[in-house]
Amino acid sequence: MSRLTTLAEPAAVELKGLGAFNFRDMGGWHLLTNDWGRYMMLDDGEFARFMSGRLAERDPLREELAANGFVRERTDFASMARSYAEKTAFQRLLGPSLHMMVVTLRCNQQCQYCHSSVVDPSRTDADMDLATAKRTVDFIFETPNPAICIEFQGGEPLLNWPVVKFVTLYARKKAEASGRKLYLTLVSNFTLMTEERVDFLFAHDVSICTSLDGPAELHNKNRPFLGSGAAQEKVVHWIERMQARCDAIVGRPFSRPSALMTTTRFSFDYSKEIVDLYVKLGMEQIFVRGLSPIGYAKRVWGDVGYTTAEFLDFYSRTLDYILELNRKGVPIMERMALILLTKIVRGVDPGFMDLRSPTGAVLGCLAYNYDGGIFVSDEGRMLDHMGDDSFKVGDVASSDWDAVLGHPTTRACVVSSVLENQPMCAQCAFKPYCGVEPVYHYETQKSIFGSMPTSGWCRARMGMFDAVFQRLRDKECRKIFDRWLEWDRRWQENGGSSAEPEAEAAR
Amino acid sequence: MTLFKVDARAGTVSFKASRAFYSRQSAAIAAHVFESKARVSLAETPRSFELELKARRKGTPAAELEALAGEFLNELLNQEYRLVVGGANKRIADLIVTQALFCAGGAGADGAARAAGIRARESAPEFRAEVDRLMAEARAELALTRTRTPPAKEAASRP
Amino acid sequence: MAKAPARKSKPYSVFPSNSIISFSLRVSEHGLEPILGAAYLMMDRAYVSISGSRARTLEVVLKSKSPAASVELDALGRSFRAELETQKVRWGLAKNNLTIRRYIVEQAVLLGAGSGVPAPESPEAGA
Repeated sequence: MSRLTTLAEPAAVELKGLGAFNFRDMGGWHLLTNDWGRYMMLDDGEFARFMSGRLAERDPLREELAANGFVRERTDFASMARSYAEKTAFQRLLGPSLHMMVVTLRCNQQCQYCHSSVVDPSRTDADMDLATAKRTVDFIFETPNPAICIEFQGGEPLLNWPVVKFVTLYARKKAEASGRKLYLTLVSNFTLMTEERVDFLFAHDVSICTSLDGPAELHNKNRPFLGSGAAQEKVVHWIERMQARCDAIVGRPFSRPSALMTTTRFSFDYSKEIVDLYVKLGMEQIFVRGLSPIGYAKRVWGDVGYTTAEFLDFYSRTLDYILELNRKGVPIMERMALILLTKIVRGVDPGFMDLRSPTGAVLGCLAYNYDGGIFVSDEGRMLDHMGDDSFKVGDVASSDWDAVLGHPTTRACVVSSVLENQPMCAQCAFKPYCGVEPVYHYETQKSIFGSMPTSGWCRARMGMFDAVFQRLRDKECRKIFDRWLEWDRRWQENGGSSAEPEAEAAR
Repeated sequence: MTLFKVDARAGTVSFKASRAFYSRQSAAIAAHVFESKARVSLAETPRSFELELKARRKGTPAAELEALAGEFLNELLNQEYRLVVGGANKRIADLIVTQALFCAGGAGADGAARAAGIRARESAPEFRAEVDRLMAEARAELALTRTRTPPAKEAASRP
Repeated sequence: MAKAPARKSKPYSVFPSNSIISFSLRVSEHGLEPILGAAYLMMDRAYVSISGSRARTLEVVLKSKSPAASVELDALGRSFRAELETQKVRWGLAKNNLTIRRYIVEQAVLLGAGSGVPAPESPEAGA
């Protein structure tokens, strides 16, 4: 059976009354979804009756199916169009909102999964210079989106601190002059953090995000530090320090630092310990992120990588532990599950670039290299570092927004990532909530379209959707998930700006 | 029944693909996708595409050559079926792409006028003076950083 | 005069020495898209070659990616059959409702362009 799953009794299907939907055998029950983002979970018996046209006209299940757009002759066009429009609001973004600035390629860590994507700390020639930084900010403000988020990345951005400061102040000045909303985020390993720098970041409302892979023995193995001392202690120290400072500031709860974890094969034995550490540090969320075999990680895959099945097993175990903690009253959320739930249950887009159709590359985000090169995404930039500039779509010195948007590579990425153009995706029950990543498929399958039956991307996403939907059907888990969505909704309404940085995610 | 003819010594595998079924477009795209894995020779007879793949890696064993040819056939089908699916959904996909690109371009707003407005505000003497000051401060701080301890040894923060 | 019963062709041929199973499928009976769709979904387990006429009969040849004896090839064949039958349903649903899908997407585009469904403003830095 393919990953799309097959019908047990195809002969018993009566197509006539059925609406437009995809279905999936979830083992004992079936998931039905439609393009408008509606979903229903039917047990096998209900599914068989519905598919064969044996549901009575007044059966409450039929009513529910009709209300959600699964019964052809009772489709409520206005309601479905509205659902679809809300779910795909990102398709109407006025240009990219997320701008990832690599202010330096230098880094003082040699992470297992990334260290060849960066250069030695002595290589100041790999810093973004002031003129390039200014031109980059000018380019960013040329894009039409009324809300702009600049994310400082590296390398380790604190190695080029004066440029981080300059961009912060200059972008704020330009935002003020142009009446744009501006969000700033720093992604740092914290090894070079100081009180003075925290003062500046807090004073200028820069969100702060770090990497925390887990307990010291795991984090320090994944992320060897070139300086003195162990990296993990520094991360923990600064998280605690910043949280204490945030908590002391009345009315400023949104500067609390966030952290990202990257899963290597060494993480598998630390599922509980990783979560416990995040809980101990008072983090509200943990993002269990898998590695992608692209860029440098591809070269070291044998040492740190794993099969999709291994990752999905780790993901499920970790998610279950998080749910167990929630049952005991510990409020911690898993970020990927929250993103999927926001799409599935709330029917709105959480702004996650990788799960969009078309892709968030260029339309939602851009990456700027230290030398001013403009890339469709940070993954595209990392490929350039490995010698392949296929995803470069401009340069801040010579390109304008129209040229970047009209670049053939931009167009190719957009067209190839529309799921209606993807054979397996077009029939997948997870389609309304999913997306494909052209750079990933170019790197792993040598084609921006990719081939989903053998795609690791597809297998991993489907596995995570399966994990979330299986738990969503469980009443107790559903209550916890609803609580997460409510916390997140309130947090968004209160003005929180998320900061799950792209560069870290890509590693 | 065999699909492939392998010459392990020459590092080649040859096979046919039906021209009645596969399009030239699919064959060309598949050949392009395989460029990094093999040298692809493509010839046409009235009934079939005649393909020969020569592995880029020397000493590729026969089983791998067969697998290479098999993956090429799968890529051909991938392209062929993609065209069928893309054709069936063309109007919807076109609408999505057009909407996304139109909005990303500013949804019809006059980009040049917007840029001119921003330039006008930013050419105000106060704005320019402020930017000059920020640049000067950053330059000075950069100069200080460069003359300090070499970055590799840059003092790590507490603890 | 009674009509002679239609000769039922063997549904597939198996070639264990080459790990191959092949199907001859009438397009008028199964539909072009379901045949292609089923063949496409076998690509994670088999190498697929298709020949013949898109208008009449297609021959789908599956060569197992791992060496396969008769019993495994039979399983591969059953799997392909199940995919084919399911593809008929999936394609049937898609085709029957194509105009509805188009209409709703068009309405959504108009909604987004003109009124109540604003594009999101606040970026969530994606990961």
